[in-house]
Amino acid sequence: MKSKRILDALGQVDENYIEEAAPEATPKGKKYRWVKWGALAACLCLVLCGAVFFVNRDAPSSVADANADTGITVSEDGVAIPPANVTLAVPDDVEMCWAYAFFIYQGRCYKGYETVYDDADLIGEYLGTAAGMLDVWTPKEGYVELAGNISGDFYSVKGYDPGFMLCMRESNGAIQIFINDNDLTLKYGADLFEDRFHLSGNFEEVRYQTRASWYNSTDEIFTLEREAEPVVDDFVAALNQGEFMRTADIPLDEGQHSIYDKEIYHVTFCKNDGMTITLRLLEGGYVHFGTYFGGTCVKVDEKAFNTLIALFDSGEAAKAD
Amino acid sequence: MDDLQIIALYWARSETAVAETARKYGPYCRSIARRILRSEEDSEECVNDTYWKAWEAMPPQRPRQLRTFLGRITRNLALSRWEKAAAEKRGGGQVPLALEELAECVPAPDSVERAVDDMALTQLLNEFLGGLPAETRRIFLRRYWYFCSVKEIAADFGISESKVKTTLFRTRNRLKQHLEKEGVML
Repeated sequence: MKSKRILDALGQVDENYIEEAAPEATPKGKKYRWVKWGALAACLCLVLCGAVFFVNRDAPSSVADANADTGITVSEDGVAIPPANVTLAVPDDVEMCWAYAFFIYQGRCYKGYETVYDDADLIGEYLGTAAGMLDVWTPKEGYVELAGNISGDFYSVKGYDPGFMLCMRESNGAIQIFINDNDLTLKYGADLFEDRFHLSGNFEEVRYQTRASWYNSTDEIFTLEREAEPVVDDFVAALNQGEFMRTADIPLDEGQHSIYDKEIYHVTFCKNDGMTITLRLLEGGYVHFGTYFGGTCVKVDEKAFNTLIALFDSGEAAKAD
Repeated sequence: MDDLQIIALYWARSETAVAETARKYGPYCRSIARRILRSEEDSEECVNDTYWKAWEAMPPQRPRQLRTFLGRITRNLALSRWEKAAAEKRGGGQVPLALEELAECVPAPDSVERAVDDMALTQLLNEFLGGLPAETRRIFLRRYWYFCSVKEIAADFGISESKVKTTLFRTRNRLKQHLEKEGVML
């Protein structure tokens, strides 16, 4: 098609023209001030996936394809997430693959979670040294203890179970956090958010982003004020009491083709220790934890859920300049 | 972190390079992919592939403008994906509309026509863009590089949708004339 040639050639035009035409990152005429809870040091907005690396398209890349392929099973004991089937090998029919920074320790696969940049006092006891070693040519038998696609000394994280979370010190001083989000069974939200993340009472700021902002990447982020605290606490309590389920089992309303057709909010808890927990809130009371614990979500009591959403919708709890 | 530092991380083969790239330019790349693909899953994969390509490219490359460098990769990857999806009748979004509009720029056959390669075509486009008033150029690229809808462009530039449409229409005509003047055959 001739017009496609023009479209492709336009892709290569002078970078100054492309830069000049770039859409604004934030909407014009509207700026929002960050409102701190307490004496908060720089709690940087971190991307959830942190320093992630090569490769594995076998793993679900999104909640939409996180279904039976993930091997998740549901029983009275909860939702069982099978061990990660990690491989860097590129399947023949795939051009390129992708996955997390990871390494294997005591038989568990620890995935890169986020990088904490401030001077967080998180590094605990030295536990070992990840050897790296793995690449796309490594056969399956090479996936042994301490192997991974990242190398370096790793430590426990102060206040967290090393069976769940470990960390490494980056050369620039940042701390890279790793979590083990597989080969486990989760029944209630508390199994994750309390037992592992110690969320209740340990966060000092809560931010949220609307679906439009998230979808269009306009970074229109609000920070809740202190008066929102009771609503947030109720939500966290409901989150802890909610039961885990498979994301693939979330019912879709008429006319919805995927969960992305539902109303979506993103809420980020900035913890006192510098870490963040970003949750995707899906209309109907479903709470999904980013790309981790793939294919699972927590069904939260709708009253607490909707009260929080109503707060977001009203915009009353977020102060704007 | 500034771009030079991020590029230095790539050259040092530090894993932090990708995290920093994602933090600073993830939203920019995602917004490009989403406009082309309209699928959250595909867009996310496309952005991840962008980081991979960047990791492969640096070194040896040292982009002058990291944002544009990444955006260009995302756009190319997203268009390739879109093409595959379109072949399976799963296309849609702004791309088919943009293609339809750009079809108006294809020069009419002429006896002095000459076939141009992609590089020469890009050079002609650069010349053409360089001759446009800055705002017209921005509107044109916003539509055909970033695939923004007319509505989005109107809102961003604070002008009416009809003005955007008129500007695009006139610019396409000018582009057609420019290509015809150069005797280009596509």
